[in-house]
Amino acid sequence: MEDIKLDNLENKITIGLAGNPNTGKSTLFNRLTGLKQHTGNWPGKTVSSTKGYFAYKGRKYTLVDLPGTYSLFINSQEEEIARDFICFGNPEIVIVLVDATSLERNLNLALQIMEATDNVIMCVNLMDEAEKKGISIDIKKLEEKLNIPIIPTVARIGEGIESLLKTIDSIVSGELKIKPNKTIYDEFTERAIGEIENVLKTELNSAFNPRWIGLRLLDGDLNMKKEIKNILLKSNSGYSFNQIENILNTYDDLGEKIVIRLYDRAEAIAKDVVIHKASNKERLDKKLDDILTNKFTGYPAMLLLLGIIFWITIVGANYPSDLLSELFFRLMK
Amino acid sequence: MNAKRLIPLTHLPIGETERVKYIEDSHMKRRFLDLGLTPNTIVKTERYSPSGNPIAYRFRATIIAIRREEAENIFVSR
Repeated sequence: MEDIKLDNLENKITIGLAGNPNTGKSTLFNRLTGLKQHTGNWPGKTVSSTKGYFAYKGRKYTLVDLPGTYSLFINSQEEEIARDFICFGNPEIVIVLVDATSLERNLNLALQIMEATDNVIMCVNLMDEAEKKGISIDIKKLEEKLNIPIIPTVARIGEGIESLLKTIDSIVSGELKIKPNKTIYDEFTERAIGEIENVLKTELNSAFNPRWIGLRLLDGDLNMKKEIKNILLKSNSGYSFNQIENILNTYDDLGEKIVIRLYDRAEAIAKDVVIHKASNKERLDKKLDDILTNKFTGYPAMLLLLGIIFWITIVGANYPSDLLSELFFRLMK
Repeated sequence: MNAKRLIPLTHLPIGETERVKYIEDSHMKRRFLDLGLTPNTIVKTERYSPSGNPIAYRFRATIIAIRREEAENIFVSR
């Protein structure tokens, strides 16, 4: 986090890149930053982090590749890092990369990020894979439902990247103002959120999003609770923290309700926006799986493949190896 | 009479579909919810791995492999 602050001093604009694992984040990351990146570890964690740089229309950007996560709820170090960065790392924009072939599940994270920040851009990646599987997505309808910029991409070949850069530029220049269609919860939950918002609004400075923090606290995010406690105690608002604790004790089991609500919404959106036609690729994939993973042919297939690899290593490689030594021998003569 | 009762997901035969009714509290419960295995979600047993563990389940347009010990905590109606 420290070197990002240094980058900010150099007037670089920080952008976070979030998404489910295996959605092509690294591919997109490499497309945007080329070789201008370095990897390391997130401080105090065993998860590797990658940071890169790019410039567009006279502005410099720092792109942070966040670990792949299915949610911002902390199930493991990856979610903690992603959540910490989005909350305390102050990115100007968060790009959430979703997989066009499993939009419904990917929307969970996207909806959560939309709660954390207004400046969200969604890239629907793997559009080529989706097409092969007979899946098509009504991007325009999805945009209407979420009210954030949505860019279809095939990061592998660079399709959509120019559009993404233009969108980033228009947000930074102030030309495009985003007001995401945030998720509304049931009355009971909304009441709980409101109560916490009231306490937080007066205590926290505007850098923090009280609604989102309220949701995380009600969700059972203990790390967030600790952070907020520290912040409130530092500014001598111990009383406020007690108020929050009381609210959390009253509404103590909302975590599941929150994630269920998010998936209900994701399901409704996907139903309206994703069109599925049967495809040959799925049938072929299934046939291969039937052979390679079933009890009777699976083990022989594995042994056969291993056998081939061993043969190549021990016997097969001798042929080119002999040819090479003959060549060098002749050259020496 | 079509009496519906709860069975663990591990008892759902391959190719069959049912709705999730309840997930036992465990360290994986929240992770399952975050993956979209929420109450009332339609889940289908896709296939078993050669040793019978883990088991591939299809729900919400994706396939996820779940360890047998953990799938036993998920109950569907049948």
